Amino acid sequence: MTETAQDSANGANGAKEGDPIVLCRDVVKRFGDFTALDAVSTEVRVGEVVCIVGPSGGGKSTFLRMINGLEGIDGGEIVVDGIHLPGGKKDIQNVRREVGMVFQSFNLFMHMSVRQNLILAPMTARGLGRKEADDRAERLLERVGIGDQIDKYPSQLSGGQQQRVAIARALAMEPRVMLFDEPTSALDPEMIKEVLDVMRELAESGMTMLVVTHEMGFAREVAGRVLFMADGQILVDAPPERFFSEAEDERQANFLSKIL
Amino acid sequence: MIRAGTRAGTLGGLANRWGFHAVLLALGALMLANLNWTLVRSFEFAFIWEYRIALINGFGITLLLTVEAGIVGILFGTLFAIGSQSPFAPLRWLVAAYVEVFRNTPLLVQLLWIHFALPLVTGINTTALVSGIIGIGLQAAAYYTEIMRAGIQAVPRGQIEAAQALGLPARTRWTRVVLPPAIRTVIPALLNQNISFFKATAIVGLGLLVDDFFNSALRVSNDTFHFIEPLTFAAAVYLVLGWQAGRWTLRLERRLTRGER
Ligand SMILES: Nc1ncnc2c1ncn2[C@@H]1O[C@H](COP(=O)(O)OP(=O)(O)OP(=O)(O)O)[C@@H](O)[C@H]1O
Ligand SMILES: [Mg+2]
Repeated sequence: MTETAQDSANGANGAKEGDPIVLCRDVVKRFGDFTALDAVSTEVRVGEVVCIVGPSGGGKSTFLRMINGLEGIDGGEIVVDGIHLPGGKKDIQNVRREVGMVFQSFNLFMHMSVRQNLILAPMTARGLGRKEADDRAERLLERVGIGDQIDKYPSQLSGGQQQRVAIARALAMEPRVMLFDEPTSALDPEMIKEVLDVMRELAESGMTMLVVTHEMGFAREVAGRVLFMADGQILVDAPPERFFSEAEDERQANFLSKIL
Repeated sequence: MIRAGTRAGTLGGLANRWGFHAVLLALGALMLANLNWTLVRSFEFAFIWEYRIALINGFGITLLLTVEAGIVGILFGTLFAIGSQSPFAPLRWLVAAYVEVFRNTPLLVQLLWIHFALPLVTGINTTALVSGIIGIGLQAAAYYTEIMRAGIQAVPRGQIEAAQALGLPARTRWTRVVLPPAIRTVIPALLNQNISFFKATAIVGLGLLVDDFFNSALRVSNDTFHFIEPLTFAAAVYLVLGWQAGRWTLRLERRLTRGER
């Protein structure tokens, strides 16, 4: 269980296996006159792995970033484990404790060692002691296969190693949901597999995951559902077998013909 | 692309250095041709030695003001720069107004205002030195705010987003994620600014009659009726120290950028 306050009316309520943990109702996002997300509704259950695919500019990143409050919400609502957004600062902070995020460009803190990257948030946002945080950092780095790099700086690591550190850093907060925004797009081909392997292992361990990706092989193998997003809408929501075999939308067919 | 740029830069640098030396030579020749040799032969610098205690004390005040500008400037400059990034608009306006007022009025005017007008308005009297400390600190804070703001804005957006996504409290975000790389990038700019304040302390000496290095040198002139020598001596001291500090800053800057990424 997480250490999140349970008593507030708008607090994490500890969804169980199979319960919905991320709920989006008619979510709208505008940038000026431009509507980036147009009434998006969906639901993700505990333990589910959902891959989000679609053409550039379709709103995939924006959607992901709204789930952990990196982008404000202009209409509708998002409920993460019982916490409603839009909400106050406190709600956003609570959501961020529940949701980890991995970026395309890793975004590791370059002036900190790998160890410092991993213990900073647990110590300052979760109140862990140094020893506990250190143990957790070592354990997670082992888990992503780079336990021996703990005292290096990010610039001394390969892209694949950096991204695995970034995954471990997010996991160190013990999130209930992990968001991945094109985690392998900035990587050289030979490093993609090592990151996907870590993500696959994470999925098998029961982590709830939303993954924006161009890796169709990964989506096909690991995802429970695939969402196709274009023009700020979810046009298709299907299990991977069906998603990749029979297109139910013209743009989906177009997209698949280009990417497969 | 990058290579060509570097080579052109080096050539440019070479041309600059040649140009620099040519100009120095030309100026030197011009001066020599027009020198009043009778006057020059009458120069003597030895008597300055007799005023060494006063000059060293004066230099202490100059150093005090310089270091104070640095410390107060960086401290408040950092705080104000953080304020300039606030989502709360009135705070941003306040910082902007402060910076504009103190950067766009002459230091001498600020100093005289603080020393002579402020007591009339507030009833608080200060000594000349304290007025100087306040004045130079206020102006330093304004300049350093702009430098720190540039440093903060140079921190990649992704660093801040990662910190937000991790749920780091705002305070930790600033102290651990944003400020360390921001300060690192602006260290050379901060030091160069402080060299400017080292020179600007002379205005405090002259304007408020604080016995800094410059004013102490002027007192030697008054005492001895030798005007040129103490002034020349003071100029030489500022020149050598400022120049050396500048060279040192440049070296540091090269080291910092080499160690990057
Ligand atoms: N901060 C912003 N300001 C203005 N427009 C934005 C902003 N962020 C995103 N957009 C616009 O919103 C739309 C959706 O962008 P988003 O980044 O979510 O697309 P995406 O599906 O992730 O695309 P990609 O595959 O290229 O990453 C795009 O048209 C983009 O230009
Ligand atoms: Mg994107």
